[in-house]
Amino acid sequence: MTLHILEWSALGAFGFGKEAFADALAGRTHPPVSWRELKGDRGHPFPYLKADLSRLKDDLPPRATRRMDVFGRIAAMLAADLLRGMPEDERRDLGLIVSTGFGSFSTNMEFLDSVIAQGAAGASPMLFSSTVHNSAQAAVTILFGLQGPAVTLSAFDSSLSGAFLLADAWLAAGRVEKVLVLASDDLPALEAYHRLRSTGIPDATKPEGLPAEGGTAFLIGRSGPLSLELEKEAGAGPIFGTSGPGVRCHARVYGRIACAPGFELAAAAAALEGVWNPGNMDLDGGVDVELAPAGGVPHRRRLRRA
Amino acid sequence: MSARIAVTGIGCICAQGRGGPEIMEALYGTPKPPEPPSTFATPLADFPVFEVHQIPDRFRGGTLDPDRFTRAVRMAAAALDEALASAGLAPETLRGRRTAIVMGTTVGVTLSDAPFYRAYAAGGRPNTGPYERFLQSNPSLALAELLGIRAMPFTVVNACASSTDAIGLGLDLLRAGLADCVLAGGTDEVGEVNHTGFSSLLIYSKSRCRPFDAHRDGLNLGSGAAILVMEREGDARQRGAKPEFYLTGYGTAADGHHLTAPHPEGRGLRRAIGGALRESGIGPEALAFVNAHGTATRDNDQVEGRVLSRMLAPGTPVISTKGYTGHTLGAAGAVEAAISLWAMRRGRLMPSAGFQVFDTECGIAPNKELRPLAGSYFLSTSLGFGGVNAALVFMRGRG
Repeated sequence: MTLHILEWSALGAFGFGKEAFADALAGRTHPPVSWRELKGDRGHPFPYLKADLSRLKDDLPPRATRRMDVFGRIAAMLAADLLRGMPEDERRDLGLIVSTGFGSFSTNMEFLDSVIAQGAAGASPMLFSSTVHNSAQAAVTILFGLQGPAVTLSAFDSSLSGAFLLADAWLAAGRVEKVLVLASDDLPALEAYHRLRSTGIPDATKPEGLPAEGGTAFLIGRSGPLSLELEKEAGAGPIFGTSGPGVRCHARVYGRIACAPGFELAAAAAALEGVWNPGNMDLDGGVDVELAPAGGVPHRRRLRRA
Repeated sequence: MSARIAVTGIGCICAQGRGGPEIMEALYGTPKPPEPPSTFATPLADFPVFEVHQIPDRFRGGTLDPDRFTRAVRMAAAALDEALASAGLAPETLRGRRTAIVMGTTVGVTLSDAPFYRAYAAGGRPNTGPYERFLQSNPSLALAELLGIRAMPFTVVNACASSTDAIGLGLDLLRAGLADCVLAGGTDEVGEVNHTGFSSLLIYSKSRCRPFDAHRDGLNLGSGAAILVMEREGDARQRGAKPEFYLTGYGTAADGHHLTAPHPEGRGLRRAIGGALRESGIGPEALAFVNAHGTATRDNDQVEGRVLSRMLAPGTPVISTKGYTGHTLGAAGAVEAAISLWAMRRGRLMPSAGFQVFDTECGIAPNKELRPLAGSYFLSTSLGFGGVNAALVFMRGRG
């Protein structure tokens, strides 16, 4: 089945929404580098690309997001961006797939902090109930009244590839007419600590190598302005992805993150929609996007104007 | 009409044993009770668990290094071994087929090594081995690695409905022609983090849990894993398999209501059950029995009981197997599917462990005695944090 992208959005250190992403792709803006102190290694500082959540209150009631972790806030902001104008009855039957590399891992560690501080008998039930990896999915269904199928997938950088295959399967099975595919990740402190211990402190002047927070959103249906076909062989047009010969990668905009293929798909959409001019590139035959990580089962999709 | 999806292999490991014969012998005979935790240290030892004490240390001739793989992965490998053997499939034969590994879990995607985290949080510089084990133990990715195949990995993290959704997702992948063979199920382990967490929610029983009972006082956690081998019927027959079971329907729906509490009227659950029955082309009167989620918490059982009492034909036997296995969280739906399939094969339904006293708030009286089974279909339901609901309908056909 050919999927179609009806609408999309992106969020990262570069900002929030299509325009912010397009500005960063065009080099008009550059993602700012943030620093955090890790608990381990005596509070070692660590550079990363922090998601810009400054517009959180624009679309979402503060009470609803007060206790949400960064993973959930990214997902909720992206969902709000695409569901803003959708009628309530259409939203009700919408399918939702959240893909994530680490999910609510950070909240899990925060829960452990509460166990360490208060003892097992004083552990925070509020935090524990948000340790499930589908907490962001739950927040989105509650905030926007979604009552259709809702699933969260978490297999590191293979997650998004699975999300699109699942969207395929749901549409083919007639479970839904439209699917919102969200990708969201924060940067768990332990992941930063692991990188610090394994490869040392990243070079803060090279954003493409910096661990990052962020996400992408795609509203998928059976017809829309951009078609997204499964392809076995590479086409004649450009290839966007995270690695490989001849592959164009835009990690300088979004950093190192499990949902990197989502940003590459968003970059392809931005180019085809004309919100970003990628320069000397023939887009007539579409853009091939590698959605699976190198070494995994190949998952290539061709995005083109429908 | 889409192809029929056959279940050609079943594997399971849980507190009652490893493999169909051992588990069913315990369930039909003298099941083990929950015990104080022994695989992790906790001051909350009066909250008993259904643990798996013996996990095989080898898989297909290779060693399952506990420093490399979590208990969740090692249990999943044991279930996979049995599932593949019962399907008559060698891992080598999967290399030429588009194989998807679809595993549900909760703990399997987080760090369960509390001592490591304590050392880190204290400002120390602990060795990152436990974190690397976490990275290597994502269930679907780890099983693909153990099998030595390039499979499509799906790790479904839908709280306690994870593996029910995993099996349903496998059904959709096969029907859509996106995969030729699906290994679907779930795995989860009890550890200090989730044991402490469920205790903090004040929904944990200090004795064997009593699903749907008027005096129920909470759940017991359990460890376990189960995997089904699923194929399109034509593909299965072509390789010489004689399918006995089919997955005929799947329904899934969000409540869109509350993070931890189910919708009071079971909105999503009704939709999920209705969808699974509709896909199967049957009405509720065709069900031989229902294996309910039945956690023995006040809220879950009340809502689920009400929905089942309204949707089922009068007299349909209902059980919850959590009084045997504990709540195996993300593995629960797969463990319950495996047990139910084996019960269908043996033609006998076990009692719903822990149930004694009818609760008018639930409105259902689960099965209290070993009884013969009549009929071809059964329903299995799961609910989870985040307002997720999923239902599967299986059928026993002629082999």
